[in-house]
Amino acid sequence: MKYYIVDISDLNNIVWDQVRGTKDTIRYNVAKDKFLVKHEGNKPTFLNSYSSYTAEEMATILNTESNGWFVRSEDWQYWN
Amino acid sequence: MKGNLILKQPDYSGNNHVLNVDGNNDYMSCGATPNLHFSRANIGTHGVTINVWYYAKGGGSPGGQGPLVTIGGAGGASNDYYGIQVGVNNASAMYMHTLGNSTSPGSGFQQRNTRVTSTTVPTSQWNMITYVFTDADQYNWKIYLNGVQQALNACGFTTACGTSTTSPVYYSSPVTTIGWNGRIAGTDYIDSGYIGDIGIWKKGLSASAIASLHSVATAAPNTNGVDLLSPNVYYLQADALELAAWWRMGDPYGSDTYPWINDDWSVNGDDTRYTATMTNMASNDIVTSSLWG
Repeated sequence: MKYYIVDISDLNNIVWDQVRGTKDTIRYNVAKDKFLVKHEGNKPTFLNSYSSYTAEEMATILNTESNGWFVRSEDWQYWN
Repeated sequence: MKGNLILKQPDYSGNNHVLNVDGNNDYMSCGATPNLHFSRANIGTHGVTINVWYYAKGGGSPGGQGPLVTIGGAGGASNDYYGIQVGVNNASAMYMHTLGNSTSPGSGFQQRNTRVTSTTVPTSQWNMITYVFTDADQYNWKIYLNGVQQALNACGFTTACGTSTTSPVYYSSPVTTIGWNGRIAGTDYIDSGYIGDIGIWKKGLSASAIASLHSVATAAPNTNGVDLLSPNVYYLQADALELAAWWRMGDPYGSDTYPWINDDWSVNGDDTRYTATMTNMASNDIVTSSLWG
């Protein structure tokens, strides 16, 4: 499985049956100017301009708050 | 007790299929699950138990943490806190919440009830985590790891247990999810690993019933699992009759069930089931496991 961080401007260029997931279920960053795409097999041409990440690399990016994929509430330590 | 003997599932053939989640955006959506949207009064009357098998692969960042079951969450429509949620927190401790007050979702720590363990969940092994909402008083709640009751953090300033006493469960456009908390900016997915069977009961299961579920599941050859509709040892008929949901993660037909994970609960002719849809996943994410889950 390969993962890509794609600019929102390319949202309509994604061929959804060539990636895993759907337009309705993809994961956006907090600013909603990027989203996550993943696929197996050969790299689709519409992703040619994007770098690929492994699952582990992607997890590190997504779980680092400063990368902008989530925001902890002020009292997150009480919630979790 | 509601009725007569429960029959063992006709197609029950052991239980060794589990879901492989990538930790990045894999989850399951059950849609609205009105029979599971327990109010504070419901919880006070009959209690609620949520039992989850989870194998955290670990080794990632952070690894082995996140929401396991969110009953009646926002489903991506809001950043507030809704419904009932259980999972593993950023310190690998187990947590259980009821969220919101009588008229609004939770937006701060006063608008919920919660308990957190002082122990942590090991990675790279199967764990059975059992959350028991004994009644509406969070001071009576219990959390079990592999059939053993865990110590809970004392309720204090830095480990607040919440103070809401006015129907602290709020559901709005509710979506029940497995592996995702359903929030927008505060979105969180369960970390990379395997999710096995998940059961929900309209009852606070006893310590002996929970220990039985674990011991039967882990007895050699470790691949048979537990039929939650069939009493065993100290898991009694009265317990099985209160089962309200049971997702078996691909059993018995493996990848043929993709993308649907059936809710195999059915008691006394009540057949309201909530199918879970595998989301951002593929058929080969239904895999077999040597223990089960």
